[in-house]
Amino acid sequence: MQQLIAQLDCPITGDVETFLAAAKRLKSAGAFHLHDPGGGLSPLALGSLLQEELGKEIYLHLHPADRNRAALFSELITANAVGLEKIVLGAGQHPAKTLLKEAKPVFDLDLLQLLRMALYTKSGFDPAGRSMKGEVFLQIGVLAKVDSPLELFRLRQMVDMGADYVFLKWPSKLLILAQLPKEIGKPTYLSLALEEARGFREDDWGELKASAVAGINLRIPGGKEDEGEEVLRWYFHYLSSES
Amino acid sequence: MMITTQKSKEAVLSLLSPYAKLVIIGCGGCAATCQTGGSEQVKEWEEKILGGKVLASLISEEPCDERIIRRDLRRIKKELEEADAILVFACGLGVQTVVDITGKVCLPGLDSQFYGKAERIGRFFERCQACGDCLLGETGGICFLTRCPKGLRNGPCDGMIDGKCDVKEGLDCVWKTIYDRLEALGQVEKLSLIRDPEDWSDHLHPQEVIQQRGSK
Repeated sequence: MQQLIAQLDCPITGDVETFLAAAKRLKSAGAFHLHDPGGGLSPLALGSLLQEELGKEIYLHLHPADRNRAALFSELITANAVGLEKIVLGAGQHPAKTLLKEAKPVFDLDLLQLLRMALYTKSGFDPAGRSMKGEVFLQIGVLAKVDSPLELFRLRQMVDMGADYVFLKWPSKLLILAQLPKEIGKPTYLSLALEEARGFREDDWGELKASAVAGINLRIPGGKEDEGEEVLRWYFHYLSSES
Repeated sequence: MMITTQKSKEAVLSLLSPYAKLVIIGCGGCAATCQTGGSEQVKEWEEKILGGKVLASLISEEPCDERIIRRDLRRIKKELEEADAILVFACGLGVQTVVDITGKVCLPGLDSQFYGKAERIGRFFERCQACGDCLLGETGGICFLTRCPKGLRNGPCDGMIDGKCDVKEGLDCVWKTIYDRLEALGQVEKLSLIRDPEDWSDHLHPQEVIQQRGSK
């Protein structure tokens, strides 16, 4: 059965209670994917809380927009230490497009370099090449889209490098649901914005159900958790049905 | 070349307000091309704006070359000694070189913006970050550090939409441009190389290049 993941932005406030209450309403989500939109509460901290309170799988989104390689490595080993094993690496939004638009863009690493570092960490080595104590349980995925041959080329590079799974953004012009996930050869999740999902016709859901995707990642804006739950619940029942 | 813009008149006058006797230095190189610090601009400030406060002015071809500016300043040695401050219409390199030589209060009339090319007078585009590791040979002559707002060494990011950058409106995604260029050159295989991150320990500021005399 496809996994239903609810992607939530970590709030740019200190209000943990409201966030947890909203997450609890997403009963049909099998997992949560936590993303810091820039200046938000730590996905690591919220992920630990959510995992403890709800017992659901957590995907931690990591991006290099506002963290240098030292900070990113720190996030990886801390995630491992607190039992948050699933990581999704993204390219990161430029601060000019976020709430804190005056902030300095970091991008000390790009997505491919971050993947390389993360896979190295997964193998038990720190960025200086020293063997780390303790086991590393991390699983490393990447977020990509494939609108062009260049993006498809980069996706293939990331899969060849050893990414464990892929989150593919919708719409992606070169994404043929029946074909590309199989070609990638790794678990592939379709990442959909809530509004996109609400615009899906039954045919689209049918195509999705019949495809080889491992699940959907539904990006739910703050305040729209009830709508998100509606979509996830509907799709859960659709997946469970015979049709 | 270093592309400069003029500080606002109010900002410059505010900087100058404590000083009664001034010398103005302009730049006959980059700032003249930018029309920010050449002879026309210096003349305007000397004759129309500052009037009697200016003891002397000169245009140096390269105020950032200590040999040249030192030679040029000899022509106004007397006025320089008398001046309270020097208004320099050059980039930060020029201002600091004049400070180093004269030890006087030197005030910038310009803001240094970027290293750029001049398409024509009045149209300047950033093209170099002085990264110290030129990779233009690998990218069909297109600099990703300068032309990607994120400075990605292995782009594009998922913000590319129909070949455009989602950070700056109207900007072509440089990685799409690089890809198209490499494709046209039959060199797409160069994209297979995944570039390492920058080694920042190699670029501690302030940097210097000291060539041994007689070495090539």
